[in-house]
Amino acid sequence: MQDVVLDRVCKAYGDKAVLRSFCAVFPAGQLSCVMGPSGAGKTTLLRLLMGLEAPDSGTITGLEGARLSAVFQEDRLCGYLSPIGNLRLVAPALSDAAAVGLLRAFALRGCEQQPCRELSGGMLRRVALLRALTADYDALLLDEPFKGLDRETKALVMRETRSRCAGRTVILVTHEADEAEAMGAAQLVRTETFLAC
Amino acid sequence: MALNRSSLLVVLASPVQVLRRTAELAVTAPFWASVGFTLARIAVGFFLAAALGVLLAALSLRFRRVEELLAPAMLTIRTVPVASFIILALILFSSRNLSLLISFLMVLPVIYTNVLAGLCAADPQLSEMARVFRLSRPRAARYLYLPQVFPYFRAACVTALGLAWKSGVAAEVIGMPRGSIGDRLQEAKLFLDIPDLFSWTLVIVLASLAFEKAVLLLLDRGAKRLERI
Repeated sequence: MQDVVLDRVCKAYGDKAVLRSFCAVFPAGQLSCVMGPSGAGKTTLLRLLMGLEAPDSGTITGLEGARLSAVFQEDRLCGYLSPIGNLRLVAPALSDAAAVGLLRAFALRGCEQQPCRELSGGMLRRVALLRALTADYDALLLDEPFKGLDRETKALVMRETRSRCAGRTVILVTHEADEAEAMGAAQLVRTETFLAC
Repeated sequence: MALNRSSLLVVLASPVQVLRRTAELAVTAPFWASVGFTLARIAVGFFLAAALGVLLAALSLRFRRVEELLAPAMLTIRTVPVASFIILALILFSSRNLSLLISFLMVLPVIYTNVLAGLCAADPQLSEMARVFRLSRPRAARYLYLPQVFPYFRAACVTALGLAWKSGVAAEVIGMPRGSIGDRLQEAKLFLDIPDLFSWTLVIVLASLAFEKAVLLLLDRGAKRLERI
């Protein structure tokens, strides 16, 4: 895995520029944090990294051929599948026991076999985050993965997430400074730098 | 001109009469042969059309060209009167498997159109998720698309099943393949045998209902299995 390097990346929707000559390096094997208020283009940046959008100009290197995993802004789970089913969708070899263990670690009990459409928002968020952590990945892209969690659960989930992705390339998008701190971000990119010039 | 009671019974049959006649028919071997004859052809026509409709819809989603090519064809099948197809088919082929061909033609556009609509309405967010996680095509089809398209397919089947029976029997009435339900209806008409006509109509309704229930039961069983991974 190499560093993820963005070189003079521009992206605009109509007249509205989101990224203008944006340069950044997300170091390999470390957790970087993208911080800024809502609507500043954090999700757009992640979509560019995921390859779901192409930059208008500039280049993104370091992710060619990399296996990606992600928590999207929305949960994007299969509503008719159980939490275990959703994990197994991206990790076919995952055993029932291992899946239950993962869910327990995120304080998800008793919902293992329930269809996801019946779960609450906070539970779904945790399943989405677990799915991202369970898939085989070289780079992990997280779009406000802790939103909708109460304080206690959030602390637990952040601790677990941090230990599970230690030493991996992670890009975490958030608008809360304490999340960046709790996750031990090695690097902080602020959205003010999106429109560099 | 007013009809008195006895002349009314020539053009109508009492429910008791109809039920009695149906019961009489139901114990004869030719009755079941006729039901089997028609049921088999309509069922085969239906299943072939359902399978091809799904396949073509999937191809249309993948290749725009296929959709462009199929759009006028489907429109033609939908709008040309079924009677024209029946007569054309009678000229070109024998009447023996006419109901198979006609129910196939009636079912195909219904399944195709609905399944394609379902595929087009599939959640783009889940498709993006599949892309990011690099789910294989068969895996995405099985676990993401199939459950999303299933309600469309099921609704299409309900509509198409009724159509298949109505058009299939209409084709038999015109083509009169020996031993079919349509042949029996035509016979009843020839002899002005009103109780027979109503009995066979009742039989068609019952057979089509039973077939519909059986297909939907199968589908819903299948849907349960979809939830396993």
